[in-house]
Amino acid sequence: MFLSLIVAVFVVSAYVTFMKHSETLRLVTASSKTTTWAASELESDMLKFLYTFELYETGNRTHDEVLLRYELLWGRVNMLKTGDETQRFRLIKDAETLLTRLLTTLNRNEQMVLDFPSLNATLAKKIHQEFASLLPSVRQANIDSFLGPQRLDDLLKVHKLQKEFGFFLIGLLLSGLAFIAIILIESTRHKMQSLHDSLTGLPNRKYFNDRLSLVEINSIKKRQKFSIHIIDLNGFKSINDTYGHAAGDQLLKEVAIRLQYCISADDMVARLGGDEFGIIQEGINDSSRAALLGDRVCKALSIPFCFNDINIYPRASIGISLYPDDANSAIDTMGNADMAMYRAKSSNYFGYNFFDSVMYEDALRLKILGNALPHAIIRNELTLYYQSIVDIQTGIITGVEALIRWEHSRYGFIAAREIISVAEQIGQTTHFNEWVLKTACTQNKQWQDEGLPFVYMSVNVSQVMFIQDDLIASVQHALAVTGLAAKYLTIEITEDSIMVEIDRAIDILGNLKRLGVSLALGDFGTGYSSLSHMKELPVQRLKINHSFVQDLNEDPKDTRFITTILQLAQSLDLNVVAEGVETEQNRLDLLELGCHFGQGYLFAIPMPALHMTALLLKQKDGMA
Amino acid sequence: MGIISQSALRLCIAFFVVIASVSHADELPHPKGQVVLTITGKILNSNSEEGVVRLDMAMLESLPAFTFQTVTPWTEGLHTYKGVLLNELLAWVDAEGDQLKVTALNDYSTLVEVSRIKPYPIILAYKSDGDYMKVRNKGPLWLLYPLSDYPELDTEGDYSSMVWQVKALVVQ
Repeated sequence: MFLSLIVAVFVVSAYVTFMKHSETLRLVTASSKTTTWAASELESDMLKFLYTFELYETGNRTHDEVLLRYELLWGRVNMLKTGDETQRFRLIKDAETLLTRLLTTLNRNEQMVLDFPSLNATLAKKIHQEFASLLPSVRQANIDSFLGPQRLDDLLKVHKLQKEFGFFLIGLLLSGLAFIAIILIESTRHKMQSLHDSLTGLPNRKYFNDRLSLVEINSIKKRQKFSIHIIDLNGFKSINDTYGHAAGDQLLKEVAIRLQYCISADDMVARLGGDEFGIIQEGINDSSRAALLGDRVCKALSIPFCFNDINIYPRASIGISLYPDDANSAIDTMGNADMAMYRAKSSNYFGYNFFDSVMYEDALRLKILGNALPHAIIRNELTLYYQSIVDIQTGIITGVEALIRWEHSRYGFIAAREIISVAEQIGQTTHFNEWVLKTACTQNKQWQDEGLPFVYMSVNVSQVMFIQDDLIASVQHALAVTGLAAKYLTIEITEDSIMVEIDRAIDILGNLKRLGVSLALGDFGTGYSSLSHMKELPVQRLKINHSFVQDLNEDPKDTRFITTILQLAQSLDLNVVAEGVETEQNRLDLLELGCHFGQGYLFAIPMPALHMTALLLKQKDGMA
Repeated sequence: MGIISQSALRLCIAFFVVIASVSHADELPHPKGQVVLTITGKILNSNSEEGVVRLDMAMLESLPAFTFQTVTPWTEGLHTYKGVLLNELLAWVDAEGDQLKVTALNDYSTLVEVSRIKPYPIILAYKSDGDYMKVRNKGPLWLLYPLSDYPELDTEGDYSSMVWQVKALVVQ
């Protein structure tokens, strides 16, 4: 509205200024020049004609010269009567009448002037008198053209136009200034917008990063420290899903307001994106002030938010890192704070978490192993170790469990659990799992081909691999490629992986069973298996976690859990394998309790394929 | 030998001077009717001993003509004007000057830059709407610019060059 007003003022002022200027120019040039000139020329032509006429009468001019003067006077009158240029002359009072009278006189006397030499003196005198009588009017028109009312009027108009011209020029100037002001305001606003988050009004990530660079320079100069706090709301997505995006937005605004109350004047809080906020705390000497701020933020966010009579209890994970204590640059400090935040998040507790170097080492280790794993798979740097599963009574090997081993150049021996975790983090589980399955099946087939005793090969499958990957296809592929009969393969999964999505798990296990593969439930007794589901699970074997076997080493022996599990297995018609059998006494106890199979250091430690081959060969020879 | 050769040389020079002057003077046709235009100044061709070109209407009409329609600040509406092309006329008299002094019957005169008029079909009009022009109607000759065809000529400066009742041109 305001802008269109300014545009209107500008356009009107520019237009009117131009018009006034043109009009002034026209009046100044056209009126003064041509009108005055034409009027004086008329008088001059008139006088010249009369003069030539008189001289002719005394014999000093020829008839042709009189005719020429007559024609020229006529030409002047015609010129004054027509055309734009002399239009203003005709506006002079009585000018039109005068011109008409002149034209009439010229017309009437034309023939007589042509016949001049034969005219008598009286007639000639009459012609002269007739023209001479018009002379005073011609004279007056000449004067009026220079000073007359028309001319004065023009001058007054010019004066008035100049005034208006100035007035509109001011309009032009003012609207021009207004334009400049608007442009300045707009550009400031634009800059403001580009550096602020539109929802909360807080500085955005760009602004935060800009400020961070300045703070870094300042802290180096002043030899002071600063801390970065990364605040991430927990379960924000579920708040959005449950209460709607409007509530989510309200929550973010409220968090922004509370965070602003927490910081001091020199600090900066920004919305870094989504449900993530950042604080830069400047000019501190140690971590105590950062901890105080962390406390304040926790307290501020722990008060429930009330929207439409619903109390929402937000939870936030806060990571704090100090510069230069934790890193050499502001960017790395920010990365550290992020890491600390994620650590806080994964520990699932509401509070702040300072960065420590272990976190960094952990993150670095994950990064390095994550980069190395795909290559390790391709180059066969991963190896499988095998641990025998034996009949407790006879000591005969009935199965072998494949265990993954990775000797990393920097970190040395990497445990199976970490390898699986790395594979999950870099999204390489399928690839990894297929490699393990194929290698294990190949090995078992090789033993069979070498005439060694037939054993089943037990392969562990992690939760992610079990639920997310196409395990059936991987197993089918491994069996097809290696030619191993399905019944010599056992897929071992933990109790926990099944319980996450019990219905799907039952489905997948059913499909595996249909392939002819046997199934074992590992870590049994440590999870939350529901007894009602137990009977639906198509598993053939339970593996008792070694912690229960350890109970047998207590004094007095604690056999309650093992007994219960064995009884359950018996009623469901399942085999039981006890893990972590370490002593001969363990073996005897288990035997007494009715457990038939065992696995542990008493029988054999996990060993490379070659050693296992030797062990199997020994068994074959013994049997023979 | 010296005397003979010197006088021979003088004779030769005199002969060539005469030839040179004669070759440029008085070679154009002579007017038979009433003279309506005289051209003087820096011109190489003429039709008189004193190097002046005098033209009657018939001679003007025998030169390359041009016709155009235009409005002017001194007439009402659109009129058709026919006249001799000024460029052709100047070429005919072999004019060499940069300026043209145009004089009217009432001795009004103005200077026109030749460079200004050279690019345009400017005429010395002798007919308006098919009729010869009387003195009372800006005749017999009117230096006319094709204002309607070339709006860039439509300026105050050019208006003052458009002399009517022309009687003489002086090439300077």
